[in-house]
Amino acid sequence: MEQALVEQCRRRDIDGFSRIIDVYQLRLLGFVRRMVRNEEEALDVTQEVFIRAFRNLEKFDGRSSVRTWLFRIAHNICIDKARRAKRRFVETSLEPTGPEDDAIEFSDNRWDPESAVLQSEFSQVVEEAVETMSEKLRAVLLLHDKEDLGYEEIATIMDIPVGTVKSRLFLARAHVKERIAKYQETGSKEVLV
Amino acid sequence: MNVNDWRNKLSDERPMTLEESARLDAALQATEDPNVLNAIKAMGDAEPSLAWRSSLNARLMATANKKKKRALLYRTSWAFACGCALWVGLLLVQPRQAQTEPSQDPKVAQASIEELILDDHFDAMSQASLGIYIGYGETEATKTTDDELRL
Repeated sequence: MEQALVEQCRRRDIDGFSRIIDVYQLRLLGFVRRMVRNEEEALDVTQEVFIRAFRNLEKFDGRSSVRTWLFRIAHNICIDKARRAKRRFVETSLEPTGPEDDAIEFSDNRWDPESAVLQSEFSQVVEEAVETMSEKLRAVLLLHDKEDLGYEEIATIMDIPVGTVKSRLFLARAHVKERIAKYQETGSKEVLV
Repeated sequence: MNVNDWRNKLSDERPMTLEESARLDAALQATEDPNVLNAIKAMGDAEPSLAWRSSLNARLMATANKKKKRALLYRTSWAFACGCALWVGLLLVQPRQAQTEPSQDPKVAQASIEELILDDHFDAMSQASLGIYIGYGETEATKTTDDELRL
């Protein structure tokens, strides 16, 4: 069905392209909103994604899915914006906790959001942790954990090797865990600002 | 490889051995916290407004019209260029044809035949003055009789 839609769009059928927008606008806007962190800019960038896709439909060869193609355009625009803004982030450095720490262990069963903190506060902590990581880690975390894309698809979108996708995902999750752990220790969200 | 080297390798995004890749896969599975995953999935996505969508539709329409105009201009220019090339080609070919081949125009042919007849007549006149004329249709000179000469 997607292929039929693309063929329709290649014939300059705006109705066909509108259906593609209907399917992807929410997800793309959500992704872009968390990458650029400015509401107005996110709306402009999301529009730009669809305009560029419509202009370059002839170049879409169908080897990847429309989803991959749209997210790739979105990612490229967001990275360009970030480079121009030259945003700086302080990321969690993976410091060893002790000499017995021979392996990286991050699954922490002590954390129980239902008993220690309200669900909404926990969500806020997670969202702020996502906001404070670098674009390259954030992109992988959002594409994998939120959009459920596979490693290969993310590698195509970001034009990086699969191994790098896994490394970044690991570091992104470590960053989130670190922030949650700090919040848990202090009991205050101020530590995340 | 100790933990520090492992961490540095991840941060630097250096290529990994098979063993290190397997270790990373295992670590990724270990870091899959369902509470965090659910929180990430639940991060809200606000629906864009109708105004935003209208603005996007208008931009798409403008892009489509621009493309159509460009395509039409391209086709028109191409047809015009072909027409000019054909016209120039015809102009160049025609004079050469006039120089190398006899004209097929009946009026021109007629004029040529008339010229030939006139030339022939003048030749005949000059030859007659020399007494050696043999005209069209005549195969032998007519004999003059004495009676004709007396006239």
